[in-house]
Amino acid sequence: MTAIVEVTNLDKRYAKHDVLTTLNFTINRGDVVGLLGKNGAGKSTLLECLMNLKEPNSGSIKLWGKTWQTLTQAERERIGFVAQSSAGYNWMKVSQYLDYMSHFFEHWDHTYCDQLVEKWQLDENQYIDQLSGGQKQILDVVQALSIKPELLVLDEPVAHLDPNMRRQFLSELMELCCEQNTTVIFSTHIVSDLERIANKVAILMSGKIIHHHDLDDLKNAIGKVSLSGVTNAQDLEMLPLSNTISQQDTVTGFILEPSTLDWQNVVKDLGLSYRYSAINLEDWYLEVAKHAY
Amino acid sequence: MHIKYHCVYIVQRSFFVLPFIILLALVFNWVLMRGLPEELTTELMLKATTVLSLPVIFCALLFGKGFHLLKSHFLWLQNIRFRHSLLHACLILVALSVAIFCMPVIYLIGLPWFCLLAPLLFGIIGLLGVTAQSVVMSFFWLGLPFFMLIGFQHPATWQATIMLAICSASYLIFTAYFPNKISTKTKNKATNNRRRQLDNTWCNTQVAKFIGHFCHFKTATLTHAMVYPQTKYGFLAIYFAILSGILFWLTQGSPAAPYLILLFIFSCQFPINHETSLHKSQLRPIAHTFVSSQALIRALLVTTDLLALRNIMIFSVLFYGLVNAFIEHPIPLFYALAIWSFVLMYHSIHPLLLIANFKKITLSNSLIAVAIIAWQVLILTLLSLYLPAINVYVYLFASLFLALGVRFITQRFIEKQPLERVLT
Amino acid sequence: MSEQLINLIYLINAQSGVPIYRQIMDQTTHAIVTGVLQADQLMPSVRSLASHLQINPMTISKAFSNLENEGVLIRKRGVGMLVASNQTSRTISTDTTNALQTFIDLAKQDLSNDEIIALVQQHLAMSRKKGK
Repeated sequence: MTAIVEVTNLDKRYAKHDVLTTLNFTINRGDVVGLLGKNGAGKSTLLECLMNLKEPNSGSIKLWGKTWQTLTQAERERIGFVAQSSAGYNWMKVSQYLDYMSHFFEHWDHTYCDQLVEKWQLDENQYIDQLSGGQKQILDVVQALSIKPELLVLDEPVAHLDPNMRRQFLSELMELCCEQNTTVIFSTHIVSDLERIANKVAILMSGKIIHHHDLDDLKNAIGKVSLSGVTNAQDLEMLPLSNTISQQDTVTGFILEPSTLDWQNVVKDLGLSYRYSAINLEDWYLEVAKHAY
Repeated sequence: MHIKYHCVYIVQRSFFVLPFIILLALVFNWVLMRGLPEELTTELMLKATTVLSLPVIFCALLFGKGFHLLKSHFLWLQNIRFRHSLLHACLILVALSVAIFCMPVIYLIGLPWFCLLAPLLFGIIGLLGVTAQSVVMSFFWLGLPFFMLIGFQHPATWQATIMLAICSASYLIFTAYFPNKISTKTKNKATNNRRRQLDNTWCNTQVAKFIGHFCHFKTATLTHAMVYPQTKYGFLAIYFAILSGILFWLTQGSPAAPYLILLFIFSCQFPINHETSLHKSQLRPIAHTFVSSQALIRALLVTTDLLALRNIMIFSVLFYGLVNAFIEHPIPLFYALAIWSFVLMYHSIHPLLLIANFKKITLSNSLIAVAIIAWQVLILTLLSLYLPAINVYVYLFASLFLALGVRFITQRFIEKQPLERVLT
Repeated sequence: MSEQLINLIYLINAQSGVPIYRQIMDQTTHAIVTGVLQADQLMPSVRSLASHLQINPMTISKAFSNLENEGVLIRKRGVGMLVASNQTSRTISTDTTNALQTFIDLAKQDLSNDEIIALVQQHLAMSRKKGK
């Protein structure tokens, strides 16, 4: 697997506040990575560091094995970025804005851009300050996708989109992934979207990536377990349970990450009975984040 | 406490332009104290009061920007205590402006205290004019003080002008303090215009849209990302030329006029930086296409340097025409050397303006402001006192070398800054 | 394959605890068993399915690969993924049918239909994990 993005020991501080602390992170070619984290966790900071808009205090970021200074112009222009807040240009019309942006990217696909504008029902002659928040976000996405990027960095790209537009955006993104094998990293609070389109999920907490798993492996592993007949709490230490709650001889806990341990056999060997139910990603995130809130 | 916070917020929003208005007021006051005879006729008193009113009106218009921002909060329409505390803050600021700019001179010259009434009323109208229910009425109220100044100067019309000013100011205060007393139609308009009220760059955007019709994007340049078209095409310079014309007309024959107008020269360059600071976030989608952060910073500097230069060229041509039209003995050499010096000064400190924070009073901002004012005062003093003795060529080359040296230092400094400091 | 047919076969619940690739596998198998998909029928391309369902193409590729390994689908070069011809002729044995009926009769005494389905799914999930 070719690593497209390699982040090593990244530190970023704002005044006295540590946002990112010794962060290590790798994204392989073709991955669609969903980044989760509470508000103020540093997701936008991480993405802006990836885009060289913010300079880390220490550590390194490599794209295609190169630092930003050594990337070629062509490689830089194959990166699409959608920031959290829309870009502005209130005095321009939609068509003017896209025409203006196209001059910065050699591989801008005008035909594809026009198709997206028509598909997502943007009025080319409308001024940007007359667009709604969602439409401005769509425009930013059109601008990012029109370059047919190899790497797409999206900071909450669907926050203001209605459900229909969100589905259309996801559909378009998936087509791009098929066609271009585009690598995508996106931050979002809409976990259901992440479950659909991501193949990897990462949680940013306390300045570090505390979980970074293949989504299918994660969903196969995570769940809520209820153990009955527990007499000795120490027996449970070998089990990969988190956030446990005990009541008489019943202990309920969550499996929050893939493990090589065959815990069902361990439970049987301990002479306990168990009930297992699968949980979705949102419940998983809430359990992981419990201690952070 | 709320009144204090409102005052601080409004003054902070005006921070960068306020020093220039203070300088303007100092120059006006100096001219008045030196130029007025001991025996004052009514006409002279009126002219003196007019000159004293100008900085107060400029201040009021400047404070109106911060007031407008605070007024766009939904509490302005829904919470009477918020509304009243904000209005108290506005009136206090106008009163303070009058006290600072007018009272010392009135006391020293011996003008009657009644002369304080005019600047106070004009200031109130200028500041509260932003509470108007429509854009047209806003322009009317904001322009009214200047027209009143014209009427106020003449012995035949000054009384009527003062009566009109009293009525206008009373009306604005009443409608601002007691919104329930105004008609339902106006209240509905206020609610419907909320979107316009919320967007304090509405006027700029409309002008930009008009000019944007004629914009064509043939290459990838930063110009369209950094400033509105009207500043790019030098229209900003035309606004200042119009203002200069009004000033020349009001202070006809005064030898101090060129000094005052020269202060506008920097005002043609400086707003470029103010606008770029508002629009820097527009660079984020394309910042990564530049070879390096230093390349982007250099491109920003070149773009804004050229824009400022274009503005000043347009203004200089118009200004020279005004000087020739209104001043009996134009002083072209003084004008030319002052323009040369001011342009060099701006371009030498220009890199520092990229990281100046236009919204907060910080130590670095204050130092930059002090440096600009001190440099301007030095140039004007040097030229006005020693011009006949100065060797023009020596002055030209010396000022050029000084500016190049300072620019070299400031450019090296800015290129070492992280991109986030420049773009934020 | 038409969009209507894709909508008929696949209803992905991203928020269930079941991985999406698993849901695709189960729903494809269900469509074959119930006769919605015929033998030698061409499956939709990964791209069109990914775009239509807004699902990561890697997930779909994984599901199809697993189904290919299980012999449910076969890959034909230059054509795509086809339903294996031996799938639809599979019949369920009498013993299995009788066991199923006995189980349902017993379970219905204490549980509702939804509870029965949930229980079966739970045990299936557990047996899959054991089988890994």
